Amino acid sequence: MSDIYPQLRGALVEAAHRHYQGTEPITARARSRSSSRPKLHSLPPLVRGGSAAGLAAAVAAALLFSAGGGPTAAQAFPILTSPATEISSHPALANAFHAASADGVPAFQSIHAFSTPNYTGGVSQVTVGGVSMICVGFTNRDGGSGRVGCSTTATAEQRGIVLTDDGEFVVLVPAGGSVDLTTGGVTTAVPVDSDGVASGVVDQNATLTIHVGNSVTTQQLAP
Amino acid sequence: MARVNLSKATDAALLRLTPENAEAFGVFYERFERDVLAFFWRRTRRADLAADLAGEVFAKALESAVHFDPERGSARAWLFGIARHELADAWERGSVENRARERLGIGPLVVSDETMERIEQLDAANSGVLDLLDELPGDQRVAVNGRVVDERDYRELARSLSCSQSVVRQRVRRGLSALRERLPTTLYR
Repeated sequence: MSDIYPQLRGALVEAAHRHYQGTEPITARARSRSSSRPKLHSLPPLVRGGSAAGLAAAVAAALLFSAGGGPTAAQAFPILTSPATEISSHPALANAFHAASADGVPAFQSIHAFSTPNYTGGVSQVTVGGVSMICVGFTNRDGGSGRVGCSTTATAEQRGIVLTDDGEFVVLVPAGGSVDLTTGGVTTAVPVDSDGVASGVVDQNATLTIHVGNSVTTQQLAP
Repeated sequence: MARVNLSKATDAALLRLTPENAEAFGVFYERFERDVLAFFWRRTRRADLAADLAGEVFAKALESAVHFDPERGSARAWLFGIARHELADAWERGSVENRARERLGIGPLVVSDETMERIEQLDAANSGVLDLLDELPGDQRVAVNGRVVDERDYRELARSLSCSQSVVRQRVRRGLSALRERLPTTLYR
């Protein structure tokens, strides 16, 4: 593992995805001022900040790379078959999703909520420019910050959506997919719940690997 | 897609695999991270500059990974060729270029205090050795400096010194042997 400058490694791997495969999960972050968590040292452009302009740019990029969404999202993501609830009934999540809304991205009205041992989260579908997108959000353990990531439905069905916040991670896993976590050379399977969500926290550098069909996506985690 | 054990792949294979598996470049980075950062740290004595230069070098390597030709030399020599050019350009311009990172959408990376400390400690154990380089005969000094300090491969050194690779190897071997004899024993602990 990179033991000197891991931020650069992560940025390069993400850049390699963009440069050669033209896709990536797109994310934006909303963080409350009261959050006591340390600030990230290094974030690639589309991940940094929670500004409306940031997500708008990310959506624009996704549209360029997208072939469009299909009607099979509910089959790929079982959580979409659960009842949707008003986003306002989840104040912390609402704050994160609203911060991610921007020109070109409709306001999020409802979400399919999920909970994990560490997080409260939600999934929402929106249509941007006729393209179906799926957005996932979660509030981390202290409730002080939230993270929202969006991807075109077509891309999400192939690769899932990975959200990371320092050592914390939440993965929306398409049906049939699996998630591995490699820490210190040891790889373990991360349980995927009935909603298709895998999550956890690492206390040392780790690699998250998402397998969906023939697609393999990796993500570096640093506590 | 067949799974490839990246940790066992050759450097050239990692570059070849990068377009279809981004993680391959992550492994490539890990293999050379220490040496590239040390290369720049030794020449700039500024950890932030070393990190900045390394970022641009690896970005350029990523961009041109598909063009790497193992017939023309090792991946290591190729990478350090980029590094030397980057350093020379930076000295000439008085600033570190950012264009490859911009093209790849890699934003500014803040170098943490921990990273700075780790870079500064990279060649602490070697500093005494480098100080002794000046005491070597000219041909050995040039060979050791080129091979060990500048990370150039034997083929390239032989070409620039107008001699065979075996001669360069011999000079490096003799130079390193002489350095070992002159090292204070404390460095061996």
